[in-house]
Amino acid sequence: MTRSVSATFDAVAWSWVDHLRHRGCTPWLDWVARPDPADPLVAGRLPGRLPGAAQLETVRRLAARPRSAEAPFTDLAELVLDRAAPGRGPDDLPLLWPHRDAREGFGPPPVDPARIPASELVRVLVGALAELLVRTPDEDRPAHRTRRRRLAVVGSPALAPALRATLGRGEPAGAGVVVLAEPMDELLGQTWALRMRRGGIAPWPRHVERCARTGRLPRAADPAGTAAQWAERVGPDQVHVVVARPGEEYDAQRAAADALGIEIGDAAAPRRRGPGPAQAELLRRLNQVLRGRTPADRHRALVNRLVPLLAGDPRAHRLTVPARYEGWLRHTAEQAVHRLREGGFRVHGDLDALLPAAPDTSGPSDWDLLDLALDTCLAVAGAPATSVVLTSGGARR
Amino acid sequence: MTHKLLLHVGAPKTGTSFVQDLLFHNPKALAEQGFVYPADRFDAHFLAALDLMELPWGGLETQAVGAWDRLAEQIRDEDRTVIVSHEILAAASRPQVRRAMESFGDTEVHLVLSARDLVRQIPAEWQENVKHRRTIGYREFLDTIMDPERSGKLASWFWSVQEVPAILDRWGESLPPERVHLVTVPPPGAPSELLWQRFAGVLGLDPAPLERGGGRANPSLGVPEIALIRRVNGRVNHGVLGGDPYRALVRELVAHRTLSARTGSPRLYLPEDAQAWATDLSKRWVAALSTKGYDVVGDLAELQPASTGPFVDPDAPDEGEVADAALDTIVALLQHEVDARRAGRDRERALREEVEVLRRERDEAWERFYGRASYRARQRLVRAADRSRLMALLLRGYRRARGRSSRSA
Repeated sequence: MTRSVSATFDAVAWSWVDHLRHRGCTPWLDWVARPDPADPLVAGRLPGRLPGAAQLETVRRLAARPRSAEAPFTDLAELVLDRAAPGRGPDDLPLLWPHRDAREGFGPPPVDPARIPASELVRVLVGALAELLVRTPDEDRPAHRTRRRRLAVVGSPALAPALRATLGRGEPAGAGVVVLAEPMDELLGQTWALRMRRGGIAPWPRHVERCARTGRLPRAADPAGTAAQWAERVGPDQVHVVVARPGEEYDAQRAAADALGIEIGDAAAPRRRGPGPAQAELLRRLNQVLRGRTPADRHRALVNRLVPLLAGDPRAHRLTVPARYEGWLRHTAEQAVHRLREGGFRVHGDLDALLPAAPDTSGPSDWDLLDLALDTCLAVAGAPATSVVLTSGGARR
Repeated sequence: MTHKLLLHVGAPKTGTSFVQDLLFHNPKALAEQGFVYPADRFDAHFLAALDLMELPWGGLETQAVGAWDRLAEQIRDEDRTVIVSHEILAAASRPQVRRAMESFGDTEVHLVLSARDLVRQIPAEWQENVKHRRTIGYREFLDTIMDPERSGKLASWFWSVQEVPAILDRWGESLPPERVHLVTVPPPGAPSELLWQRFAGVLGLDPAPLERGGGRANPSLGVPEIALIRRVNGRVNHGVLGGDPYRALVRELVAHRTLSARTGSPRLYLPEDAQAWATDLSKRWVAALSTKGYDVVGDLAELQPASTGPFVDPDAPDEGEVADAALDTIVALLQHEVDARRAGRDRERALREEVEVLRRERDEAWERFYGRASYRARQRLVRAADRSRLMALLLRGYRRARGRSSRSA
């Protein structure tokens, strides 16, 4: 590369960086193709080595999101541009320059940033998210929590908390227990998401694999086992198995209230809690970084702080059980249905609905995850606790 | 006075474990020469590197929280010459290198990179991948790293730790070239102590007083042996063996302690096309490195691949040889089981003996206590109180006067 070509490249590239820092979102090759892509003001003070192409493209995509105006964008852009992506993967990617031989020199080959895989941009964003979270000061936590009367509504991790909240307002007529049962693949997905919520790092397929290999379901994904355990304590006739199909949450709530003899009036349909599949996957990747950055208790606190800021619709995707475990899951679900049918419990709903549905949806793609990560990053950067630290440059790593 | 840091950043498979073992096990000998290797455990610098690079590593990263900052603080606070060494530091990206350099304060940093020719490094890296549970075949591995796109984690990691000019460019960017020391690994057949002498020369150490701890070797395997490990991975990777048992049994017991001892089997080299490609690339490396002004310890010509033995394909190994390696493995595992049982029995016997000793001591203490004349006299009085109303009244009065209602003597 000749000196003049290099100087031109640097001037154009730094002009683009300046454009991105100011919430510009022109793709690199479009920028290069402009009649005069080098801003003379920028070209006069080239600051050194360029950030990596993945970091630059991440900033460009952040700028392109509608929420970018809500965050202190320049500071967020600096944070992204200044950091390496955590974990393994290509780093320090140079920008593709149409006037330069891609094979010269050493290091990774130059790339068109617009063609960088979504997973790599997510890696950059996860690092930025971890940094944002770690920088925020610890919150003052209440010294103790008041204990509330807990109703025996167990099972589905997504639905049970909402039902406990609604039903907890009324007085139960007896000592009954409600076991909320959903299709087994749904329950398995919920338990995985819950583990990610609590700092887990196992990918979804490994979660399924572990269950299949050990032959043990997580307790919340095992309605038959849960019902049997409660039956030993309160008797099978006091155990109400409520089948809750996705989309029929209101009916499930009503059935649970009737079963417990609780008057709930015209309470609204319960809102499912917990992260959806894409959100859980983002948490999983974030957990991998946070567990190496902070002690376990702070890690949990940071995830707690993040969860309300997670972008995206939790119900936008559904997890698909890997094909090699479909047979195992169907067999397990059939056994569960049999045990629930024969266990003497009081069943509300159609137990056959617990059998896993044929996969009609695919899980979240890397591009779904990227959109989610971009919006979550902007939300965290714009949150009051974070934005103060971000704009003051506090505790930089 | 500004003190020095000798920062050894790799590359993997260039004798780094050997160097780290010597440095870790000889703190006194180092101190006598004005050096310090600040590590309270053998993998302290590995943990620091994981922290710096935010690398997940099978759960070990949870032990690495804050490790880099602690190490950097030790470096800044030292008066002596500090040595830091870990080979995964080679993979640090530019922002990570920048952060590391900033963390050293005004310490005079000397960068050390040990390098070996690609024709020996590539098979060694594939072996290392297999010993870390990968099941990728040799040909697929070669195609992956030879692809100029370097897409994917495997290729990007390989080049991040093996591309010598790029590593030196990243780490040496802010250093004058004379503080960048490139140690070349001698060719096969050179005296075994030569590499360590070269290292010691860069560090300014007298190598004689340092003794090996003998704990950490990372030996290479032959073709049938590594083919066997790869097949084992295929059987144990899906939830059969967790991280710790795999490290202890497959990597340490089977690969390092058993199969690496089988030195008679064919060694792993590159096939013809890969050899030609690696040779060409090495020439370009040497040409580029020779213009940089780095302090080369050894000879850049040693990075040019020498001729090797015949290529034996580990993707299609001699099944008889693999079976033979498998038999040795079974025997080693049986022996391990026998040893474990014996150790279990010995532990149980030792525990029983300990319990017996404690029981005897307790009995003797009781005997000493209950055997005293005063105790026997009191016992007689208590028994008399059971028979005599008067004695019972006297005893109750005595106990009330003593202030306790306990019946214990």
